[in-house]
Amino acid sequence: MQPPPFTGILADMPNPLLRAHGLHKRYGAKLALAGVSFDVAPGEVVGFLGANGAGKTTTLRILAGTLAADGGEVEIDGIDPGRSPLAARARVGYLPEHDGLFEGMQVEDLLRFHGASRGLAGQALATRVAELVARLDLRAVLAARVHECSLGYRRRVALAAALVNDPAVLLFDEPTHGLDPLQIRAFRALLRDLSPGRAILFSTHVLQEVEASCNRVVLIDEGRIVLDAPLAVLQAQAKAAGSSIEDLVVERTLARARA
Amino acid sequence: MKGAAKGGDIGRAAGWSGALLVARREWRAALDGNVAPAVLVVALFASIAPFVHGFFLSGRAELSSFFAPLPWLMAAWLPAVSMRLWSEDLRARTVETWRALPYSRAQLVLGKWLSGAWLLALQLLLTTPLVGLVAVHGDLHATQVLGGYAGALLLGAWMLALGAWISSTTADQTTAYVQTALLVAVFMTLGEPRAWTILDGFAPELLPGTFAARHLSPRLAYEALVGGLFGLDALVLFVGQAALWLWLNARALARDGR
Repeated sequence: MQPPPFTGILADMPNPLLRAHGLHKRYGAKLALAGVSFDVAPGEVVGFLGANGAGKTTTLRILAGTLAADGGEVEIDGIDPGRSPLAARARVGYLPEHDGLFEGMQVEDLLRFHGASRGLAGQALATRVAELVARLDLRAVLAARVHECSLGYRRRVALAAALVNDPAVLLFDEPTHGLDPLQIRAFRALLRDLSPGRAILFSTHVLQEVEASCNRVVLIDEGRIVLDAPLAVLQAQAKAAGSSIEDLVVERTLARARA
Repeated sequence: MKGAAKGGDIGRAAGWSGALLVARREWRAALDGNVAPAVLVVALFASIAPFVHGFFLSGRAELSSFFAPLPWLMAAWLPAVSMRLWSEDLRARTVETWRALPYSRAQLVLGKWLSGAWLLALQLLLTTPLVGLVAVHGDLHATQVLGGYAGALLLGAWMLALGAWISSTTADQTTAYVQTALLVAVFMTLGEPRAWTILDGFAPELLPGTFAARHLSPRLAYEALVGGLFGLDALVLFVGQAALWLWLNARALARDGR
């Protein structure tokens, strides 16, 4: 029998910054999402786990407003993107899986463009760009064009672009892809600093990343949420069963496959 | 810092300022690349060549030798400008970045089109010394100068709108170029007397060729403007059709995305 997903604990969360309810998406004959629902509250860092093709990127794209769902509802900071797409997008910082950077632009120009696009101007824009350059250690590539940057720098530039207007909701698709161990550590520290007051959802294949950075885990498999629980609960369950969180995740995925 | 406050335009560049931001980015990206500057220089020399030939070899200082072949030259070079407007973003997947930024589709479409129109305006501006030559050595008619440049600007903007739409339908810039150049050639040919006579012959009672030449092809409207005839119908044709292409461009962007 398929174990029930952990959805009860956070289902009645007060004032979530991000809410997905019953998301459906189909690509031709393939059902990519089959009723994906979860909320993310302020202060939560949610690890969005799943195998390749499970529906992580599709979910993130729908939440970021770059892909239309076939059905279901999204709410960003209390705003319905269907009714106010621009106001919703203005509250989201999105780091796509491929970084989505404009190749020919200088890094500084690119950050300024993203800031201006999000309503920053003058001294506020200059200050914010300087903050991000310092925080993400981008000084060395500030004058370089994006296509001249290494993969690690590109990832950090894309991260800076996503953070430029200090959004309330952060959606990161494989954010540590291409980062070296030191950069991954710095990213974890950044997540800790960012988490108060924000809803952060990031997809990854790497379970250690989730254990190191997140306080909640959402597992998606074949377009369905099969696990949604606080990390502490999973750790306690794993400890009680004498197994690991990895074992729990694999068990959930296999249980769904068997069902 | 806390997240952005709620409110309609907070956290985004609203209205024209957003479209201008997009246009400035695209303008700089075009000039930073290799294609647009090269095409600009080649187009400039190609467009003034007939005038220079007539001026130095035949001693004629007439702007008609500049404006007459200009539509066909623009049909060759403006698709090279418009082909990158969306195809490049579709290829590099930066179209998702545009969709994630808080711009409306209208701002994106207008901004991209405007960046191409600025290149066109720059090219036309660089040809204005010809007007000085005609003023000194020939017979200058102000209405022909104004009408000619207005016609060239409107026709070029029309071509760019058509090309922007085509480029939003394919990730391959070469395909976008070829399709745009072919479509422009078809629309221009519809204004050719031989073409509309042939078309009229298929249905003499309906005169489809005459209808197409008057209401679909921008050629007669351009020639009227170059001749100093400023008519509302020409303006309606250019603006109406350009608006249609830009609307189709926005529709193409709406596919899959919001």
